[in-house]
Amino acid sequence: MLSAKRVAFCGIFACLALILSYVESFLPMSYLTGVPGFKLGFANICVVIAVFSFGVGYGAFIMLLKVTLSALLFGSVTSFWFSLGGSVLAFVFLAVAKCVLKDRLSFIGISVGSAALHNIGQVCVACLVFGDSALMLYLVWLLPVSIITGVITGSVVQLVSKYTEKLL
Amino acid sequence: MKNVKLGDIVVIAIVLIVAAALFVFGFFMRSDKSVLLVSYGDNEDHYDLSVDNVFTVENNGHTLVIEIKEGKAYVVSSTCDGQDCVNMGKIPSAHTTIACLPARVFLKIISDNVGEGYDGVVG
Repeated sequence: MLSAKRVAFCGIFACLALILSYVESFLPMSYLTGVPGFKLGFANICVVIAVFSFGVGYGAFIMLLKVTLSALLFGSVTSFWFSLGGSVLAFVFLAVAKCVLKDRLSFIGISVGSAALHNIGQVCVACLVFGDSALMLYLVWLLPVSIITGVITGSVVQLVSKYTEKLL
Repeated sequence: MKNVKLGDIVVIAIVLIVAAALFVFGFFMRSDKSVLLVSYGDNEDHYDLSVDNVFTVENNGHTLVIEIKEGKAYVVSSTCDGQDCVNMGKIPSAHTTIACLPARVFLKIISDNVGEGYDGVVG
């Protein structure tokens, strides 16, 4: 694929990630589920597809763009650090999955792993902010939930990736 | 990558094991603690959980109304956008917490009787 075409697709996926983040911010998932910090993580779909379709570097670019712009547009300094902590850890898993575990995991396992690490990253940042490791106990609820959200987003990625592979 | 693979099951199992380990850890750390620690900014306030109380905490541009009732503490209302702290419900036992990230207010039940878990020390 020409690099200009690749850059254009990256722009589209970055926009999609932002839109999904924005739409998700309106869904009161914490209130509906009773699990604080619960998010569906639909924006992660764009990052997963970008990593596996365009490459790790492009995926990192989209992830950083999504974190920075969503904090600037509809977040705060606090939300930036929490989002960055979770996204970086989730992205590390995606990169490892792409480079090392690509034949051993499907998109469902990849999405579950990255969702779990996203939650772990956010809780680690919370522990640093508040200086108390007791917050790690939130993972008792967040980790099982990340399995559900990971299976949902992974299934969407499996469906969508059929079409994105044809674009390349 | 169309079908579920063995690796997926391993990933899900690891996530569940970590969650279960944290649950067990949290369960064994529970005990009858009676002091609510409220930390915000550089401040730390302590409240007796056996006394019903309603108080306000202001930090980082937000205001939280916190109530202690029947030995349990919870955030009644908050001016933050997410309202996660309100939705977190009541904290009835030690090592469970309520955190309001936008206000940077942290509620935790702590021990006021460290060492009372022992019947005696022999040696």
